[in-house]
Amino acid sequence: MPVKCSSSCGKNAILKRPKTGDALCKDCFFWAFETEVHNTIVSGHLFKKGDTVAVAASGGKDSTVLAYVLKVLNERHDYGLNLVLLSIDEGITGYRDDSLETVKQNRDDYQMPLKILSYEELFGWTMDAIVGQVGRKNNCTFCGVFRRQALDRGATLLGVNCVATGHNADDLAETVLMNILRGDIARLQRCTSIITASESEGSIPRVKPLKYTYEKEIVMYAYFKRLVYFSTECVFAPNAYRGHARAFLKDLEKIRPSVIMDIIHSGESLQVKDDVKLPVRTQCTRCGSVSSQELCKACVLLEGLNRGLPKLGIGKTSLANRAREQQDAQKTRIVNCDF
Amino acid sequence: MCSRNDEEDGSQSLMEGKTKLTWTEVCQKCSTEKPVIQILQIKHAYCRNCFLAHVNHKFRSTLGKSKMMKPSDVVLAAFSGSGKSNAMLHLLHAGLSEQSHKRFLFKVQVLYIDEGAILGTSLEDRTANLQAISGIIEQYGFKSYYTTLASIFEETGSKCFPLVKDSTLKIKENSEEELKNLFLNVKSLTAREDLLRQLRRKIFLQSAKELDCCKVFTANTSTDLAIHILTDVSLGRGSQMHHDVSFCDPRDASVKIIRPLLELSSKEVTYYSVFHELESIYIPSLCTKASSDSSIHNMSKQFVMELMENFPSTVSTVFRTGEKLGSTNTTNTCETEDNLCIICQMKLDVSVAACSSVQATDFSRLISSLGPAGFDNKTLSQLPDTSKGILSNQADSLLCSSSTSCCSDSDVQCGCHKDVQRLSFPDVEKLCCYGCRLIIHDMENTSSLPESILHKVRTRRSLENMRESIQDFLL
Repeated sequence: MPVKCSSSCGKNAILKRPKTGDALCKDCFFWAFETEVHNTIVSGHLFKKGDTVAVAASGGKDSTVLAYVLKVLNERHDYGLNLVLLSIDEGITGYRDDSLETVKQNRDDYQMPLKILSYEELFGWTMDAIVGQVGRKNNCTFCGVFRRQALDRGATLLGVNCVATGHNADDLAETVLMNILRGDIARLQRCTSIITASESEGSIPRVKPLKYTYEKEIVMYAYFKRLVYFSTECVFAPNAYRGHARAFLKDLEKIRPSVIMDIIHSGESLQVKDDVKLPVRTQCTRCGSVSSQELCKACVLLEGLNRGLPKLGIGKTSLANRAREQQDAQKTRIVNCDF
Repeated sequence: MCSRNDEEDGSQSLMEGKTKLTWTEVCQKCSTEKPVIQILQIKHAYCRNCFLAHVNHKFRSTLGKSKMMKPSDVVLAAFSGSGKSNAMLHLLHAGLSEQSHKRFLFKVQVLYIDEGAILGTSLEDRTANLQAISGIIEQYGFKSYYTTLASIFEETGSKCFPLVKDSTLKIKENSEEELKNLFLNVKSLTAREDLLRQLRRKIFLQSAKELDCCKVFTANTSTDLAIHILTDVSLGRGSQMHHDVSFCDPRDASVKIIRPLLELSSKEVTYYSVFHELESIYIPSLCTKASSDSSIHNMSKQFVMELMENFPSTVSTVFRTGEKLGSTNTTNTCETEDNLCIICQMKLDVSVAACSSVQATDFSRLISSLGPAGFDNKTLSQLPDTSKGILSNQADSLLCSSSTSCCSDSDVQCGCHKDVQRLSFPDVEKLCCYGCRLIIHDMENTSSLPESILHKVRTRRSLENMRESIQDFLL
């Protein structure tokens, strides 16, 4: 016997919500999904009327659904937002070039302007070239660091008020676990906040409207709405350690589906002892972006690439400094020989 | 975007992978003997004697640097029969028989909790276990007691009994029955284990009070606590886990629970037992023989163990992370009783902030049941402002409908049985912290909870009602 929709609308249910276990029909699910994102946006005070918001779009399911839902809600609830798509082209052949096609499709479907920034024009290096230098190990560090910077620069270029990213509840829960496993107290404390980095002026805040949305529901929404998205793993080796945390979370979710929200609750209510020293956030002396060190990670990595010492930003700082000094010394020696 | 590592600055510092095994020719401590064990994230090879001295020293320094032990203290050491708790007794015994200037001055008593009822173990087996336990404790000459998990259901009378060579297990049939019912009532193994942990803590406190002890020692190692941290986070107990994993659990005003083995890893403690040829008694518990995907506790344990294979620093990193967490106000005891969870005595962490995980889940439940027809934008715009949470609102409405007959609301002492049945889920849930709510969620009815807990619910409810009725006149 078919199950009835739990909202008593009379229709037969077609899915069971992973978050609450309720059975819903298609229309009620669409409505519930959208209303929940709306609730997050309203209660978290994510946007102000008249804001220009850049949707960080990769062509994947999260950002595709995010762009679609924001467009729908913007019209339905009259947020008065000006939405634009912002994509970063890392220069990964066989992965990003294909996914960018999806983003272009989104641009046409949703009638939003699209800006694509590439690593090549920003940093002078494509990911393909970087992997050629550093090999398959550690290349995710470069990609992640550069993307953060690229998004910031892109946002500044477009003059937007904030950047909306497609992080979902699963991503957040996973990050909480990761930060515990790595012992990263500072990030553990701030990783669950819905708006990041707004305190220091000059940096553009990032918001996560899908923070409380299960990954499974995002897939369901995209599936029933027939939204096209790009779902291929990056061609470069996936990160093993985060993979552990992800697998652990998936196993936990099978035991108790509410575990994702439970972990986020834990993350939100964690408190750090007063006497624990946390890194002070300042600005990079070279490029001015937020950093806890004198030089931000992006500048160090880029310097390493340009010097031909790609490992510069990966190991310990002391080792990096030694390598830097050695190379400088060598250069002076060569210069001395010339004369 | 690739969400693999777009952290704050996108960088990521991973844990150190396994380094090469560093067996040296001689012990790195004394440089004479042949090493037998690698410790400290398998970077150091120690010989037998140096290793035992290291464990003993760690144990003593953990107690010493806490500056909490006083000569007049009577310590209740929890003994389960496991190798770990036997090692703890051995270490305590060693400390008590030291030369005068190094001797521990506090007194030690030992407590064994019989949990056979929840597994349906036969009375003969349970008595046999009890006697084997007493055999081990006898070697050390500690004064020992036993109690049963079912004693949590007993209202009066002594609950701890002296444990001597041929004592027999005294059980009370009806409280055993109530305990079994309670555990049958809880549907998932995860919730059952969590409940067992909370009940065990209650038994520790209750027994320590009966036996006039001010401290309880439990044999949790750093490995256990790392697993505990991951379990607690997954159970939504993030705000309280520093009590569960630190040296001292100060939640109770008069009895502190202390974990003197927390600086030692399970490996170190196990080898300590092996080298001293300490006996252990195998008593199965709830999760014994259950597969790793049967409960969150088992899953976390397996996860940590697997990670340790390749990343030997996992336990110490997680454990140190736990150490840095804590509440901003260190004294929890000054909290009034009204703000504490009725099950685990933690500050209620469920005041619903406008934009939080609790609110989002409540909201999902609400709109999944209302549907587009029963809901308009007005309801939504009011929601964040009321910031009271749907759960508690529902609770209020249920309360109103059910509190009209029989026992008057202000009658605290009324033991009327109808009242017990009338405690609805929202009534109980309202007084629980997030983590304990999840246990209640997995229960079929609330009436099988121990009377001491139900009594608290009723008292708090009537107090609430009284406050409401005089609200207008309160200044």
